[in-house]
Amino acid sequence: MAKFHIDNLLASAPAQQNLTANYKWMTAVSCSSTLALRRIYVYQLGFGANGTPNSTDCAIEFDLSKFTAAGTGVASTPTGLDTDAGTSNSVTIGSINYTADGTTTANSAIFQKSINQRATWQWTAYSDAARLVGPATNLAGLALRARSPTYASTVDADLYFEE
Amino acid sequence: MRKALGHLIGSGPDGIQECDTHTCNHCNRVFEIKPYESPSICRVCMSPICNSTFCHSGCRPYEREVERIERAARTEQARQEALRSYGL
Repeated sequence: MAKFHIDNLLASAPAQQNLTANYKWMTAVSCSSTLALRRIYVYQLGFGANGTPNSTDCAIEFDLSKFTAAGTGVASTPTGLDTDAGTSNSVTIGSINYTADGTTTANSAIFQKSINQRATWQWTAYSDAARLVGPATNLAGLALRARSPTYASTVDADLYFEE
Repeated sequence: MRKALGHLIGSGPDGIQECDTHTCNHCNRVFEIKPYESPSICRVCMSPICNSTFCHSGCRPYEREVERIERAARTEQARQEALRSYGL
């Protein structure tokens, strides 16, 4: 299986979005009917703040949720990480910094973490059994989201997956 | 003690914090475990599961759920194509 990486700065004009009290999609990967459908196996996540911190310490919540319909974001081509990927693009569609979120399946977060605004966190799967799976279904995928009622700047959200 | 399937590490104002994680084989959710703690194990699929009531109420491997979702999507797509071919 080929490995790929995507983050919400991976575009010529990333147009990062400031956080609000409601979840905003930072980085999302999904299947497309115009290409072959393949399951998405997320094996690593990285997230943290990359904007001016709030004057008082506060928390930022991140989660990885399933969605069934994509919203409006900046198109981003995932970067191949190994020889299996070669110079080929992934068939998985990447989008970042959504201005209009898609349709998230209710209560479907499979990863959730609240962090300090001055912290950076990373989750890694040691084995294939620990990977987070997105089904090979048209327009369905996984979205790494963030929200904060206090921290009102931008965050970095990166995602490593296999297909 | 079962070997952890994942790892969570963070650096921030309190220094470096880290913990082992497992991924529930029933709901595919990542959950943290304390040092020297073992996760709950489903005695049917013999895989780690989280502590939710749903995951303890029966063996439902997430792989099967993914296959069901994909099968339902293919069926729906075939239905839509058939309707289009009928002019509906």
